[in-house]
Amino acid sequence: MSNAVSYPMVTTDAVDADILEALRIGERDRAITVLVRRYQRFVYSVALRQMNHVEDAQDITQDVLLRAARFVDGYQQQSSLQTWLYRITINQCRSEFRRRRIKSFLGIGNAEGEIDVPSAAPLPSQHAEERDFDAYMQTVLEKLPRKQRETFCLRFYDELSYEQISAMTGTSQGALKANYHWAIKKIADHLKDSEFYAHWSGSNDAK
Amino acid sequence: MTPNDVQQELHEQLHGSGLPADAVSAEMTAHRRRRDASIDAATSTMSMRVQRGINAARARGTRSRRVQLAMAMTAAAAAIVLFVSVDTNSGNGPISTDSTIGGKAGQVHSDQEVDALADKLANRSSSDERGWTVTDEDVDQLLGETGLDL
Repeated sequence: MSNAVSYPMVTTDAVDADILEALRIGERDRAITVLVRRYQRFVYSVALRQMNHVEDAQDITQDVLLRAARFVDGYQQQSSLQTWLYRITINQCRSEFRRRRIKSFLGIGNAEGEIDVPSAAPLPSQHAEERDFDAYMQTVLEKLPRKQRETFCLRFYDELSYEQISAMTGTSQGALKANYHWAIKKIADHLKDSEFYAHWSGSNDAK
Repeated sequence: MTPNDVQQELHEQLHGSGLPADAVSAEMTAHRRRRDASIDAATSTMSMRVQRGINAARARGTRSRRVQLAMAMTAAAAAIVLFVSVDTNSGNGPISTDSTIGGKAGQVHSDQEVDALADKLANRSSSDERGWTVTDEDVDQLLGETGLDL
């Protein structure tokens, strides 16, 4: 299977079209406002996966959106706005890790806690069982190979199409489907060995 | 792409895994909803944070221009003193030193441009309670009127 990716023609939906039109007619502030409101959740979601730390992810999200606001005039429309923001976010996270490695090397600041021991990102839940499952899923995801984890998260959590993910990651749709399949298989294997399986085994559709 | 598409795909992938597909699929979907809620909470103030960042960047840019304008105004004042000095001394006395100051002012902007700014501010100060205090609005207005890019 070839991994060569042919980037699809960029299609914009109504909101993206509105942003671009606002830019075109000089309503820059409105364009930025719509862009931030639309993509702040997505940017944060990507940043949280990379940084694995809520406050770090918030800071990265703010930086990415500010950068986008600053450079949106130069946006070339060679990719979708979402792909553009995804790449900025990944680059921003990498830059942050690089900065922390340099700080660690120079012995500046509390670098140990910033780099190799990222804080967990517990998800607020109402019940202990839900909190346990969310934490367990986080643990399982961290055990997946990077490409499988990213594919699963972009597909399952961010609800993107394979076409969109392909444009963002530069991976063919076939490879993405294989990554997603293997990610779910590994998650299922972990779940079968977990304490949650006993709870589900009593359900009607248990084999 | 809809949440139902993703859920359906997950359900199909879980079939044959040995897990109860319905129960696990439902649990995973609930997990995703809780995650969505946590993201909503984490990004609830993001628009404000970004807007503050944009405003701060603009303020920095304007302050910087204001400082430059103040420098230009100082140079303009020096140039005015020079011309007055030239007129009153008729070429005698320590004019050469003042001439140097005037020459430097001319290198920042043309005399006409700086004089125009000085005149505008001087005229306003005589008819405005705000006096000589230079505000961001003054800078934007003056630069907008003269087309100077400081």
